Amino acid sequence: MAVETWNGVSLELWAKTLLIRETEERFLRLFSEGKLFGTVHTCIGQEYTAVAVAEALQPGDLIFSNHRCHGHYLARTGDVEGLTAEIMGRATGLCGGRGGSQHLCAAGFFSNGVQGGIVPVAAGLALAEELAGTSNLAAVFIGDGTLGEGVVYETLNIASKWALPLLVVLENNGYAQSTSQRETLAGELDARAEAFGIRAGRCELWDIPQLLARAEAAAAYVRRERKPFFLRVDTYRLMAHSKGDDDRDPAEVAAYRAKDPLGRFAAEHPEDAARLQREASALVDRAVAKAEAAPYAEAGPHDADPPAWRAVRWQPTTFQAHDRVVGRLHDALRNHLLQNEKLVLLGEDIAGPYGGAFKVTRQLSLEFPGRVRNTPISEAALVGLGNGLALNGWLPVCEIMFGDFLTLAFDQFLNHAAKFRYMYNEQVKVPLVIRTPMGGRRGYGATHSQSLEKHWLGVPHTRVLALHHRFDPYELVDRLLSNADRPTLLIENKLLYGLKTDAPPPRGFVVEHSDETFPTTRLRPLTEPDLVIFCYGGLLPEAEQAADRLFEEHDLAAEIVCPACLYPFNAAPLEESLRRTGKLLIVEEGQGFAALGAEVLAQLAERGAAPARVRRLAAPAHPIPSSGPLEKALLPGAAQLVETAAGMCADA
Amino acid sequence: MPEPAIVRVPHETVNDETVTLQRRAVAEGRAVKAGEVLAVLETSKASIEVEAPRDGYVFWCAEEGADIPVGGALCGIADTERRPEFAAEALKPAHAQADSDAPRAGGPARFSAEARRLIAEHGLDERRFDGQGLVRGADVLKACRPAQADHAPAAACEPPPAFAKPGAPARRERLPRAKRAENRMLRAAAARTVPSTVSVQVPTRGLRASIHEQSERYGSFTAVAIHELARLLREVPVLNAYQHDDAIHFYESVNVAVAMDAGKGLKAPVIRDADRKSLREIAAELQAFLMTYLRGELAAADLEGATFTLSDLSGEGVQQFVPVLNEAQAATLGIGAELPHGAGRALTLTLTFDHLLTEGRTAAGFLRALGKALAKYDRDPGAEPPRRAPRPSPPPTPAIPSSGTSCAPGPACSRPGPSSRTPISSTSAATRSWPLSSSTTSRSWPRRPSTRWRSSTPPRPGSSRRCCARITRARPPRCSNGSGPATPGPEPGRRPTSRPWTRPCSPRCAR
Ligand SMILES: Cc1ncc(C[n+]2csc(CCOP(=O)(O)OP(=O)(O)O)c2C)c(N)n1
Repeated sequence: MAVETWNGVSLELWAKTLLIRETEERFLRLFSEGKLFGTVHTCIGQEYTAVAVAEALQPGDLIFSNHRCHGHYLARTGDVEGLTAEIMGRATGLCGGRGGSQHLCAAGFFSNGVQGGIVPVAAGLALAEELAGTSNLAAVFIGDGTLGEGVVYETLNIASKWALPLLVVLENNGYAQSTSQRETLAGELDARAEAFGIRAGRCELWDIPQLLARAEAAAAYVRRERKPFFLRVDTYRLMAHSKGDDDRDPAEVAAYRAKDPLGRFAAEHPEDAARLQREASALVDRAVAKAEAAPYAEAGPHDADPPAWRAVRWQPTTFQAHDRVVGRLHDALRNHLLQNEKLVLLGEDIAGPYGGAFKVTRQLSLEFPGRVRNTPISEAALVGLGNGLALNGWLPVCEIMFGDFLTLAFDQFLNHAAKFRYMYNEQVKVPLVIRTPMGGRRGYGATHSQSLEKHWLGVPHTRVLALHHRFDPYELVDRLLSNADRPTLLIENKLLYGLKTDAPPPRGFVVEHSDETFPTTRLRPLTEPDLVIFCYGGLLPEAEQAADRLFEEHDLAAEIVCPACLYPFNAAPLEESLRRTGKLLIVEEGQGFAALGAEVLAQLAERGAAPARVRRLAAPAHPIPSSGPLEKALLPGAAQLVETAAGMCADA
Repeated sequence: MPEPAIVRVPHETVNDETVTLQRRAVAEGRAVKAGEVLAVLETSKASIEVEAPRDGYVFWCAEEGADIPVGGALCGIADTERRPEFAAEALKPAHAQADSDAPRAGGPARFSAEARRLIAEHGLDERRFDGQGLVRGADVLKACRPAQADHAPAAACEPPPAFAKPGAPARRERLPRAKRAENRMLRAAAARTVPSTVSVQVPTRGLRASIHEQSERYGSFTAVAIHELARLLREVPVLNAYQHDDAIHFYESVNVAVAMDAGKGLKAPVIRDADRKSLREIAAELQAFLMTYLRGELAAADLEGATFTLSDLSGEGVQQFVPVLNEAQAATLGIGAELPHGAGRALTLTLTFDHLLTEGRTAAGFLRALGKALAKYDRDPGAEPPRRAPRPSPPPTPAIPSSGTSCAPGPACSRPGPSSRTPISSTSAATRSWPLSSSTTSRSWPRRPSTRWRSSTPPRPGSSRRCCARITRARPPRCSNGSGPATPGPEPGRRPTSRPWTRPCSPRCAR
């Protein structure tokens, strides 16, 4: 006899749960038949958490899910066909076959298979809603194993401090892959959230009415109080972590299987269960059939960054404001804050009156309260917040106090920001801007003086810029914020901040800029050049000094080529300069191994434009010392440039 | 506290890269008023004074005797009596800043040290490289080469022979700044003239003594000589000219430089428009120059603009000497001592002239005419000094330089020193009957320095006696082109980003 409810829960919810179960079991079969690409992490046994949370959410709410996301997605959308096609690699998949099992995106739903990193992104989604003044919240699903990730705590701290409408759902299934929680987690799980002043609630999967109620209450609390909530759901995964890799005690698994709510429902209502299962199975059959009939995903025109090689036209330099680099940066940010109410600045110590370690943001926080925010010392979380803001239609500009600590946010740049647009099949753009000072010569020592940009170069769908004083930083930032279509790292060499933007070039040289959006700058000697110096960012002033001295002391005319855009890199302007002289001197402040200089040479060589004589100057393989004279001797500067260039030209 | 106003070495003397701080006129920490003299600088030509640009307290950045680059900081003028911290950047020479645009568009070129060395070695004029931007050693040598190939006389372009090892040990002492600068000019002149010399012995009875006895009336012998030769030059304009580009360029005024050397270095202050001044005026001006010379206070402006040079060694017991041609001058006159000769006395007049412009006959005619003019002042009881100089008889043939003797395209002529003060007429050539035929057309100086961007133009040398450091820093022109990065102000109505909709639009699961 058919029932309306079981255990006080409507059959509709049982149907949803069963659909998730049926879909994932089919995925496992398809996997063993070799019809899936990659792996699948099923939530078999855990489905009701997804259903309960989906029940508690409202249409405008947002979800960020993890590697085990099928259930979360199906509970929210019911889109079996899109999911099946996605996992089977078809063009009809919900992300066009680009994302696959762990990277879903549709209807305010996102997932990414990077443990921990999704949490600040979800917080960023919540921050965007909060800034926009909606009643929406963001929910994020994590497993207990992910409690090992530091960025989770960075985010809990910020979410609490900033009162973000963030619902953290901990699916506590006791294991991370094969590793038991007992082996890796210390202390109480809920206490982690409570330590940050975040309200925590606990429930278990095996008490469905309680689970539904607690999820409902949690979401209501977040929505009402505009505060985060930490919902711990004790649960158990009945199948292997992904494929057949289950090393857990079979007796333990069997005990939980006996408690499986869906199993109990089927045992008590075999006919209803059989009917619901038939219906679910039919949906899945149809989804698989449709997917199999659909074409495989194909490469699209925008998949790869287009080759950057493009001949340029040159414009002579124009008047620049009578200010210093730091002032121009400040003015550009301020102007965009005025113009664009979706611009948000995040960073450590950026609020006024301190205004940032290098004083770029000065008093902006006082003028734009709420949109210029001090963060805790949490590089990963603050860039993650930026990612969430960007996904949610805002324009975040994140300041990392020292470029050295960009490494702590590398995951956010590489595995989140750089990936979203592609793996979500162009459904999103990520206008994330990260600004950071780099470089030495200030005696800050090994961990505060590096030029690490080479580690950030070559990440598809991102951009790396290095500003300098010859192309108005205001203009650069203005163009960047006006064309913020991809994650962009803006490198600001520390020594440049104080430089005047209107200082004339050395006598006898003219400054020209290419017609690229982020131009190449050329310091052209008013005579035939003897060699070309290639540099960027903070080494431009050194190269200028060198060019000045090379002329005066060594009777040599050096042309300087200095790109603002290090990636995607256009070598054509450099190639143009090299046509007039076969000598190229490359200088980089960071490590030269596998850095931009090496890439530039490789590209020139491939084009048959390899210069006849080449030298590269870079920091030796050596951490940066603090002592002034030691540091000066180590980092390449004007003196080494002069010496090397003179040598190159002497014995040529 | 406002930043102190930095007083810099003015860009007065174009030839100098550095000047010497001869004297601080104000002690450290003392108050000055705007316009008061702050410092005396020694340039290669003369001493210049630097005035305070504003009121305040003076704090020095340079020691007396120090060499300071042009544009370099001399001192700061602060509002308070406490010595301010000078920002290192502020003390850097403002040189490059003011002149960064100059090498373009016909402005003066920038030379490498090697180029400067070669230019000096070859006696070239830096101005021939105007508009060439950066000039390296190779460019200087290249500029010499065609001359070498085509014209034997342009030997000055050949790299000088290697310095022979001297046979005996010697002590090296660098030539003084002024001498080095003078040498540059002399080499430049030597590089593109073919000097020739003519001497004429003028019999006298006691000319110098006669003038001396009537000094109330005549001033000095030198004054008389200037007075007479200047008016004669008006009649023989080819000797008041210079040669360039196969053309004679006639100076429109007669400015006579008078060499002085009384132990304070050789200087040649210029008596301007000497042909239009009375003997009395000339005598007074000469006397004033001598006093200024002795005080060591001749200004750059006093020394510029000469079109002809006189070296009067008649008081030095020198019988005869060959004066050396100066840059952009056709001739220079030397006067030897009035020595016993036969029954009476004699004075030797020697004219060194540029054979590219004229020849010995003209020169000799000029000297004889001058001798006659001077004879009017000689001891001849009852003889009055003439009211007007006699007109010399014109030589029969016009003195047109033949192209065969021209040095073009050898080393470029330097621009005449007094270009700003002494306009050069090319059209007037045709109206003169002697000694030039109207068929000789002359082009005006081809390369004028283009106007530079300056927020305020410093006084030019020659236009003012005093040099003032009130030169505001030149900036690149403000670009009005709105498309470039020139106008970075907020643009109303422009939104920085048209942001894509980041939310997917597929329908949500119905609840
Ligand atoms: C940053 C990161 N490290 C490692 C992995 C590999 N990995 C994928 S799932 C997983 C276990 C996750 O455990 P847990 O958070 O408890 O979630 P569960 O699988 O139990 O749902 C690991 C280590 C990853 N995806 N991301």
